[in-house]
Amino acid sequence: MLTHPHLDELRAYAAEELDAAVRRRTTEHVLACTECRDTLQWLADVRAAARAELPAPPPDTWARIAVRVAADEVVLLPLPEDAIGGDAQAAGTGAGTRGYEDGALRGDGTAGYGRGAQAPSSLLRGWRVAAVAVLIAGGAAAAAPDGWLRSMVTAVLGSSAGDGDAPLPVGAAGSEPVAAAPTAVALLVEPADGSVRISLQRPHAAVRVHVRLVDDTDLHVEALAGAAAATFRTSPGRLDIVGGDSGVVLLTIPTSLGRARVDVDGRTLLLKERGEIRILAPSADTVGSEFVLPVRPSGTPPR
Amino acid sequence: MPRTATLHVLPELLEQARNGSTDALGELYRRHAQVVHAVAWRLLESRHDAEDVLQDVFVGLPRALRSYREQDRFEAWLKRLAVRMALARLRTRRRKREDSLEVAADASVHAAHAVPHPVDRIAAQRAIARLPEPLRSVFILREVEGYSHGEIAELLSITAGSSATRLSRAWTMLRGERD
Repeated sequence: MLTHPHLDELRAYAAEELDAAVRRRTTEHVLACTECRDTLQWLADVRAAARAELPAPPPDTWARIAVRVAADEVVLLPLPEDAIGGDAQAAGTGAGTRGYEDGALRGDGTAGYGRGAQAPSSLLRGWRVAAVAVLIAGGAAAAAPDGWLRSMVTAVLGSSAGDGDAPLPVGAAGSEPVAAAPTAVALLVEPADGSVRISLQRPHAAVRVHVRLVDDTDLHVEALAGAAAATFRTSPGRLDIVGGDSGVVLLTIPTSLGRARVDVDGRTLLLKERGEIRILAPSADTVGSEFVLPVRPSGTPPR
Repeated sequence: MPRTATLHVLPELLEQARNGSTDALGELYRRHAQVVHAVAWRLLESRHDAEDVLQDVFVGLPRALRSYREQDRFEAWLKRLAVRMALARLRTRRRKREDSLEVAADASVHAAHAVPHPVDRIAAQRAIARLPEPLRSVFILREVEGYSHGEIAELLSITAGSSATRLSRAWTMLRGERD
């Protein structure tokens, strides 16, 4: 009875990964076996289908990139040599996810941020607990959330640090000096009666508020770079962000949220009521799928 | 009147982009956007998400170039950044979907993943797209992008053995009921 090589062996044969002896034996078999020749052809066809050329990016993509670059938007890419990034990101994701889901609070930050860079919104979600560690280790009392939120920070850190299977990336952060102040803070704001109000008070004139509408259930707030040095005060359905330096405040607002309002020093920038969004900032812009709202009209001198 | 053209030598181009030249960044985009876009699209199975990754990679490139070492092949370095960005996005998705290998393994007994023979290219691509994400990522990184199991292990924070196992399971699922 003819014994066919395993699919893995045929795949390795096609990819020329077999050593000489096994390859010779497989060749002899394939020459005599129509079924295995068919399988080799199938392997090649599937591989070719997987490698088929894809359409080019949309023609306006570069223009969108240029707008973001001109706006001095900073995106930190996950460089392999980062102390916490890339490779360690998966571990950070695991710990952070649990912390976030259990504790309804998240903070983001890495040793890389401590070098003065801003955090990329698209990468933040994996590094939640790390930032909590930075926030606490930095001893930045000004930035620490007040009230129940402060205790939640401690609770999240404590519970995650105890996870044996998902190492908290504090060790990696510890390989470099931890910045005195956090460079990224992320929070989850729970609505009260389906409503959330976020109020920025005395923000730095260069702060930009990015708003992203998502099909999610929670309202997330991420304060990046100097904006993370603000004081965060919470009460049900409300978050006050007081002071801080130049940076970005990213609001991820669920489309399902009944009402959301973003004010700056009593002036409303954005109002969401059910399916309707009203942007009241005088010089709002869009970057990709985000609204970008300056906290000061253009021409206002910075503090 | 003779026309002149500027021939950008890559190291100079990279230095200019690193220093904030939008023209240099645009030239890098012209040369390498397709590679970044394609790898992101294949991993994310979403044109929209691939464009987001493409944008983020090039917005973040000037800063990232500070860490680029000239001895690295630029396009390979850039592609790896795109892979990492796409994988980070996949992890975010995964948290929501609770995609599990066990569920995927159960699904493999059904004909839904079977690729008809002779191979219909569209059907094959759909079957690849339907692979569970942990298997599909390895399949794409290995069979399309040509990464070694060691490199995939590093990118996905798994072992090289797990990478090989996932590749085997991916092919087995694609083969479906053909046997």
